[in-house]
Amino acid sequence: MTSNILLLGDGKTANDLATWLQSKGDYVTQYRVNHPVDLNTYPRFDVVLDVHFDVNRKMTAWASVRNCVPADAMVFTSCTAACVTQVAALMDRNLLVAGFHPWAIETLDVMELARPLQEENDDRWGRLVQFFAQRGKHVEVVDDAPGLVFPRILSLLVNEASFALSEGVATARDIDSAMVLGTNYPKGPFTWADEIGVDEILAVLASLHSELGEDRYRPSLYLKKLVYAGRTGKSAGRGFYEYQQERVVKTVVRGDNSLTTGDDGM
Amino acid sequence: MHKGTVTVVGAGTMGNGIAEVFAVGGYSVKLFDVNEEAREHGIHAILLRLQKQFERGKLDAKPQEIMCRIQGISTLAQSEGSALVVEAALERLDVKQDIFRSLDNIHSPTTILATNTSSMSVTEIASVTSHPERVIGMHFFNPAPRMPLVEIVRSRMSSDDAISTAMGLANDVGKVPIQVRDTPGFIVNRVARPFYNEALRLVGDRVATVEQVDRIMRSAGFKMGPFELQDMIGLDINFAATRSTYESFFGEPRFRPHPIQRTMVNSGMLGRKTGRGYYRYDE
Ligand SMILES: NC(=O)c1ccc[n+]([C@@H]2O[C@H](COP(=O)([O-])OP(=O)(O)OC[C@H]3O[C@@H](n4cnc5c(N)ncnc54)[C@H](O)[C@@H]3O)[C@@H](O)[C@H]2O)c1
Repeated sequence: MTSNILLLGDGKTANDLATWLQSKGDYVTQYRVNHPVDLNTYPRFDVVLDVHFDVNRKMTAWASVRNCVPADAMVFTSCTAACVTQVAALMDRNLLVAGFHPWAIETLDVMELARPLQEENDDRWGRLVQFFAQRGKHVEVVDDAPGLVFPRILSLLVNEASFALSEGVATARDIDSAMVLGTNYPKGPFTWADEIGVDEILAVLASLHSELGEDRYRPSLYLKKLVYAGRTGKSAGRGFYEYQQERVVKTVVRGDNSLTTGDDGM
Repeated sequence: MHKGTVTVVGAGTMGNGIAEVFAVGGYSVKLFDVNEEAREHGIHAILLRLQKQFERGKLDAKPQEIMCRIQGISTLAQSEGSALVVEAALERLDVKQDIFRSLDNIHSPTTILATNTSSMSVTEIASVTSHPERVIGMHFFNPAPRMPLVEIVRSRMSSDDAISTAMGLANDVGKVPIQVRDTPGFIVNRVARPFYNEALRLVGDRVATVEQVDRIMRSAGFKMGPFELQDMIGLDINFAATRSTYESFFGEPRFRPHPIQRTMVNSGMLGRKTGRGYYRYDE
């Protein structure tokens, strides 16, 4: 069951995925576009996992590794912000490709896979499902649309919360607490976005907005500004909240007991 | 120590729950309903819940001690002298405005008048009173005795005093009050919309099935998926909440309901309560 895996991408999502695969006994070689290594010295790769969400970055990474990937390799490409049909077409080979999403890989017991329109061979496709099933994930095959199911719903929740924040409905902290206490959400939308990456949340929305062309998916300007300012979340030290050594700082308890951060702009 | 009196207007699901919260919290509670039968039914419902909790050892005082603090009243005028009035009657602007006009006449300007509305503008309700600065929203969640959150809604006219008094009262009865501006759906009913709307869209577009969406969202940490949750809440209630948000925002596409909802509701498939919703419960 052990596979020799080429993992494309960097950052927390990629690192978490590498750790998880290693815990399942796989050999993982991580390839970062900014720190290229010579892959020719490695044994042949059976599986490629690409966690980049941006299609251009996917293609840049792919261009530099494609010669080291055998024709019968399995490819899983993150589809939080793309259709796998498009990515498979751009890869320009008769590769075996599935869309997936790498969010919260340690905690989710379900793995969503999307099948590209071009993939018409059920036997071949079955191998992709097997890969995650063998590693303990319950696989849900869904249709190909950007953001699959969980990233899409969560990103829309974050977007609505972000609209509410910029309209001054309440503070970021209060919006998070209200969603946890009033509807039993496991986490507040802003806390969740900071963990996953505000840039990735924005990418899901932007991709839905351009692929479906509907106003319903237009990202809130505040989300965009956070990304412009490099406040992409916890791993950047700042997103909706400010972090220091994994802790929210500047949290003050007001006399009225409502928690508020000094920097959420409201 | 005498904690003062709280009046609750409307003794239905929310009203009797809110009355219980304040009575358990040590306040004297007056409960009013236009319908006397509904009022008595509400008081009885509180007694039954308290007895159940007492049997489970989850209540410090005896149910009778708490019930002594609850008094049914047959006219609104008898609510005079309350520190706080919480209105939890029909969700209709004209009904609420009538109630607030009367309350405004009965109570001195120091009494806080709160509405438990989920979908109306507190500002519009307050606008018919002569002291709109003491009118606020106190939005409890169902079931009120168990849900910790109370959205404290600041209308365009609410005073800081009224808001901080209400925050203090909610804290005092063990709730977590959160301040919110008077905007459609406040926080929770608005921010939660995509959980249902986008799930419906995914199913309508055949991206995933009802069962898949529920399994995936549960795996992400939600206690229930969007469809099983709608079945529990009632599809009619959920559809009404979506429609009201959509209309309050003058047709903002983010809140647009899905045709599936209308079909289900018009066909009487309202969820668990009718034996059939997105899932079947009648087999
Ligand atoms: N049910 C919920 O989940 C929920 C949650 C939060 C807020 N709310 C809001 O709380 C309010 C009450 O909802 P509910 O679910 O308890 O409704 P309900 O139908 O269970 O109870 C309403 C009660 O108000 C009484 N009433 C009607 N007109 C009245 C009047 N003029 N004066 C006094 N009493 C009157 C009725 O006889 C009835 O007993 C509504 O505004 C609703 O939007 C409901």
